[in-house]
Amino acid sequence: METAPAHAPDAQTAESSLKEAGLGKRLLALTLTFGKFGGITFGGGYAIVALLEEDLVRKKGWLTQDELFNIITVGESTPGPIAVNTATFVGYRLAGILGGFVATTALVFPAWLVIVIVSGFYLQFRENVWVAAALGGIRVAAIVLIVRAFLRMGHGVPRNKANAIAFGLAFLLVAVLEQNALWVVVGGLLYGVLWYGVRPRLKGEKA
Amino acid sequence: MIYWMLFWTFLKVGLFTIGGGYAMIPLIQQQLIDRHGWITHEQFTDFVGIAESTPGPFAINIATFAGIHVGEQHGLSPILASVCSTGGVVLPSLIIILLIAGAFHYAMRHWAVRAALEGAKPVVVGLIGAAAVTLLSHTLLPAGDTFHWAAAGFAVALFLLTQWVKIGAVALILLGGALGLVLQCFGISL
Repeated sequence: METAPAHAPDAQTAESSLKEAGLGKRLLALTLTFGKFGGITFGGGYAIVALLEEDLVRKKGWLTQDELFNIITVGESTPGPIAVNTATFVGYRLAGILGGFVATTALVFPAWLVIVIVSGFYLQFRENVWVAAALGGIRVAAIVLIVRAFLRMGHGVPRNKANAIAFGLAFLLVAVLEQNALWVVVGGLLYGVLWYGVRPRLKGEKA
Repeated sequence: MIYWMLFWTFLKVGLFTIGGGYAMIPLIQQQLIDRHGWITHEQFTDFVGIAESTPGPFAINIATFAGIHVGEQHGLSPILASVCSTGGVVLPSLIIILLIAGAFHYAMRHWAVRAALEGAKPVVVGLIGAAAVTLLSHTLLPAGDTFHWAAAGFAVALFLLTQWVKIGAVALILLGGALGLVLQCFGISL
């Protein structure tokens, strides 16, 4: 994908239009959106990142891609599941503290409910051929979504050698060496302070 | 008392696991199996298996499952016990993120914060790429099995479909599940 699809609304106007809506309407929108996400995210935290990118950035325009980057960075460097962190953050951005609570509860509820229902017969559930078949298809669809989010978010990062090295190192450390994402993100934050913060200032002083 | 212990135990799990749901496995094992003796190793393995095949964050699934199990074990309400464990695991990140989100607007005024977040961007893309590759390798090369050609073909077909047809994320997930069922009818399991 080289460019944003034509149906993506201008992010800023869309977000402000939702912010102008009444609190009840915003809370309802958060409940429906994150309830839906909670019910269909399989395959780890990045499935929800892909959903946020497709649904909230591209389709609804509740977030800009820059904001999504910030949310993931904060989510990866604070305790708790990244899906919960992103729900709280987006909820707060759209409807304050109450929005954070509502979005988080909406995300958690389907996950909780399914386990409550399934817990009585989980061995049968796990060994059922049709459950496995549907899950197999869903897992592949989630991977496709994550790959698409990867490609589009990759386009949102400035192309230079330093960023290419930071990207490559992060990928190697997590995918191949299986390091904890926290330390990799902390490394990225330090790299940012030095490369985008300190370096231009040092250059400016010398000139 | 058990309710409070469940809440407190999972509050610690939620507070001390950073960097993804799977990072919490060792801590949950230590707390539930070794410290409290609430579950056995075999039961924990079953929990992990079921958490992987139900929707939602892994941490939530595990916390709910453990809450129900411990509640039943002690003759308490499993629903209330699972609300305690799940609430406990969510609460630390909810509070921390609300604090950060509240301060974010002010923090962004400082050049160092903006620079740090700019530097985290390529790293985040690297993490998403790593997540995609890890999931792909688990799906296409299952442990002790041969290359999964059917899943690979299905992945390529779905990806090409999304390039040509405008299809929402939720619709794609549902389509994936439906096609998984259809393929199973023809004896192809993904």
